[in-house]
Amino acid sequence: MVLRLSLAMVLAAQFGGDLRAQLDEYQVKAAFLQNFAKFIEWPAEAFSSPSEPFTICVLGQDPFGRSLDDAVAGKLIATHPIAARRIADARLTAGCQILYVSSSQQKHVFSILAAGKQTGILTVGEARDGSPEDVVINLTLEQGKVRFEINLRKANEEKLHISARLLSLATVVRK
Amino acid sequence: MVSPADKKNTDVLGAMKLKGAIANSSIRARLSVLIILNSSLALLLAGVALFGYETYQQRQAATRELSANAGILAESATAALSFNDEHAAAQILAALRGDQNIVEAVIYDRYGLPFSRYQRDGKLRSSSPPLRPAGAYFENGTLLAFQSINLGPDRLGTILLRSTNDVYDRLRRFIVIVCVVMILSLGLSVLLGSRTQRSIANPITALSVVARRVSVEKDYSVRASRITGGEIGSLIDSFNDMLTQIEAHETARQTAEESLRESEERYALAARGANDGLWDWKLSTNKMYFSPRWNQMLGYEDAELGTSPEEWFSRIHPSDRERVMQEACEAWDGRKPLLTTEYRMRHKNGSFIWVLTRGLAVRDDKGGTDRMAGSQTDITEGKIADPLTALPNRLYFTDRLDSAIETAHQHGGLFAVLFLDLDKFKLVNDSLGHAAGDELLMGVALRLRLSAFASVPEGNGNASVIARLGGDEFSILLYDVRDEGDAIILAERILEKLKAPFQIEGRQMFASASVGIALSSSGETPEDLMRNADTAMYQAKAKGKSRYEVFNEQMRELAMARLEIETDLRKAIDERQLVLYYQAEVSLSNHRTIGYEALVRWNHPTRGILSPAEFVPVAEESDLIVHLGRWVLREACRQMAVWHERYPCEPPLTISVNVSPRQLSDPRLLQDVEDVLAETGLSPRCLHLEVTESSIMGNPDAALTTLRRLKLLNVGLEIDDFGTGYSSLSCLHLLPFDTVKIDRSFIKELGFGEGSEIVRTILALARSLDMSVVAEGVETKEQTHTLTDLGCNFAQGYYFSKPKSCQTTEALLEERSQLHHAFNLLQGGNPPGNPGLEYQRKTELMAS
Repeated sequence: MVLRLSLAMVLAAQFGGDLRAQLDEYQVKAAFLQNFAKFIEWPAEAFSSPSEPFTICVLGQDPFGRSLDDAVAGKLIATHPIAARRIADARLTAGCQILYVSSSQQKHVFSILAAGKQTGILTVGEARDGSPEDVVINLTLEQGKVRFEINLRKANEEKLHISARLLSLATVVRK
Repeated sequence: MVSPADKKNTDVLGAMKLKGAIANSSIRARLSVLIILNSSLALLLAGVALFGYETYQQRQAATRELSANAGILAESATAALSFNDEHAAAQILAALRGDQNIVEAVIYDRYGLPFSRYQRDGKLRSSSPPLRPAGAYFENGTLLAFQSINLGPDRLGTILLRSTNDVYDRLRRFIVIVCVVMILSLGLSVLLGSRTQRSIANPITALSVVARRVSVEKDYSVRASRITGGEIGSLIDSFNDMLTQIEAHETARQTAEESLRESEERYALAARGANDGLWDWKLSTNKMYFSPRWNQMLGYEDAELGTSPEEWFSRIHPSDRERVMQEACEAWDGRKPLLTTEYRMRHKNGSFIWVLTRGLAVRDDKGGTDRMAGSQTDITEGKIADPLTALPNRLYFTDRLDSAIETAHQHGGLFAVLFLDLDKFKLVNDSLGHAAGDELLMGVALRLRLSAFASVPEGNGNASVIARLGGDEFSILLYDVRDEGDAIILAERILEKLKAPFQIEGRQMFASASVGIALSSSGETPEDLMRNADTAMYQAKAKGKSRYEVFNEQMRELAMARLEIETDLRKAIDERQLVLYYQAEVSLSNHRTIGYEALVRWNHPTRGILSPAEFVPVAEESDLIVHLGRWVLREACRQMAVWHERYPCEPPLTISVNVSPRQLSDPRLLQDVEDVLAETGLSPRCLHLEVTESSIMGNPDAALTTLRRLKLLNVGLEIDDFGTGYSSLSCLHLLPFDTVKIDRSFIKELGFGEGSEIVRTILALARSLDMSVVAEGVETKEQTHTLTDLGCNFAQGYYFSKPKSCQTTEALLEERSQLHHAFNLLQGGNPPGNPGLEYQRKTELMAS
């Protein structure tokens, strides 16, 4: 029994290794997006009902392709099923809990967002050199590995409560 | 080389030996083993249980602790895993440095691949352990805790913590402590146990020591001391009670055994001492047990006789058999309580022995009998032997005589019977006592034996049988004689032998015997022969004693005649055939008759006048003499009284009457004399009773008493035949006699040497004792002169007067009376006395 179990583990490990090796950057990022939701508490007004989808919105150019949809398919955040939406206009962010802003749109988007009165949106960007202070979480690549920075001021503005465990992984930005 | 089977056997043997060793070991050892085993087992179980519990507890605690750690780390690692941040994960794991025990930690990703790894000593050794399902595992002394890392519903991976488990250290320490405690407890329990065990084992050991002592030494008087209470205490009490009972029982048994043994021994000794044989007869089996002595008595070895009653009865003498069987039946039936019978039994050698059988029938509760047992004694000797002389007795003699007659009948041959009677033995017995008489008999028996055996040719043991028939009678059976000469030789030798004096009670004594000889040809039956010998013996005795006679036909006739006389004499007294003759006693001074001696004559119808010598000895053999004497006394007194009346004279005539020895010892004598004197009116002084010397000596004391009484009646007492008996002259003064009559034998000797001397001595003695003397049998003038010269007063004899009949005497008295009368007329005065001798002789001459 033990032997069989061990064999299964070995097979699973090899298979898993294969799976992980195939992940590209956006597949990881798609997982990150979804994972962020697990370490962050949204204000109550972010959802109108418990069954309202937790919506991950991708603004602008979509770098994820199908990987985001695959990542979220059938998953729940608390009671909320996760949904992925692509939006073209920054003003259409209503109903989004996470808003991924591609680096191409970033400058523009934030100004719009800043203008809006809407809060409770986790904004995630991937400015490589730009102004990370515009989004709550900024995804970076360090030696091929995806890392992120968290802007606590922005998070507070958005009334998002970020878990210390998430914070311990991030580069924390307070401005 | 030990085969498996052998080994198995050895093991089994070993186990058995061990079992045996335990079974045989002492209570103390067993208790020790028990206590140690029990304590050890209890402590071991307690130890194991404690250890198990402790182990469980320790493991649980360790597991809980590690799992808690793993849980915390898992929580911490969620983010790092979620975001694939190995660095963060490593940092989280690095926080484990604070915990000394955790040596390794691994975080696996959701695929089970190691994501981050931590090792306490920093060096990466080998690969991380493979992933396992969540849970705690002990492995190689370390504890592994796998904890899945979850975030919400998602499983992110697994965390492994490996702890160098101090559980085992703690358990090891725990074991050491437990072991120490166990050993201490064991020691303590053994210590305490030994005290308990002593309190249990010691009394039992003591008890077993006592029991062993009892069983080995059989000493039931020992007791176990009661040193404890409880069951053992009561066990000891019971044991002691039991001992007490056994002791009592044993004592009783020993006593009973002792007494039984003693009584058996006593009986066996008694039976052996009595030389008795024993027999035991069981009716149901009809078998008898005969003791060895029983068999031996009859001359048989132990195994020679069977067990049938026939062995007994067939050997009983044919003449006794029916009687004995009858008596045995009576004992069986219970008509007689005991069987006691004497009879003859055939010895193996063909002879018969006399036995006395005693028996007792054993009765059961119902009164039935199945068994009779008893003894058998050989009484042959007592039966056939005379206890005094040890000679065979009449019974034996008769028996021998029987067979001798039978033998003579069948094979011819001659034998002789000698009958021997001691002369005057009664005198010895009466004068010297029975002890002396017995001694004399023994002496005689010895000499008879010597004489008889001396006459027997060498090697002829059967040649004679000497028996004592009783009293002073002996009898000898002499076998194989040619004629009477052989018997005579023996008789002569016997008489010769008896001549030598016997030494009886320190004094010399002479004995003689008269012997009668009868040859077997003289009779047919034992009784005939015995009677013939007896007759011959009488003849010898009559002929003067100390001699023998051989039986012949004349003797038979004589004997017959005697018998006839005895018969006739009895009749004669009644039919007044007896008459009295009177012989005058005269005074030697003037030859006058002073009195008469009454002498009996028998006027036999066919044989004419018989002298006393012909019938008095016959009468003396029976009580006829007493009748005869009484008649004589009465008749003489009556006659003298008549004469006194008819022919009175002064002094009056005396009448002397002979009193025989038998009369003297007759208690009626005194009365008779008194009666006769009263009847006849005769003056007692005129009656003179004559007693022979020998009749006094027969029983001096009694005779003296009678004589003194007679003396008191004033009758005169004369001692007759003086000088012939045993009484010495010296004892005469003791006797109340008035007159001594000197025996005619001395008178006959007068003038020839000693004769005169004896008479002189008697006269001197009588004179000194103031006794008158009558000389008997005076026949010549010379004798008369001599006696007168010697100073003798009175005499009696043919010289003066023969005995005369009553009529003749009366005629003389008549004549004398008339002469006297005439004399008186002539003299004119009373005559001075009786008519003188001269006158009497003249008348006598005229009468004859």
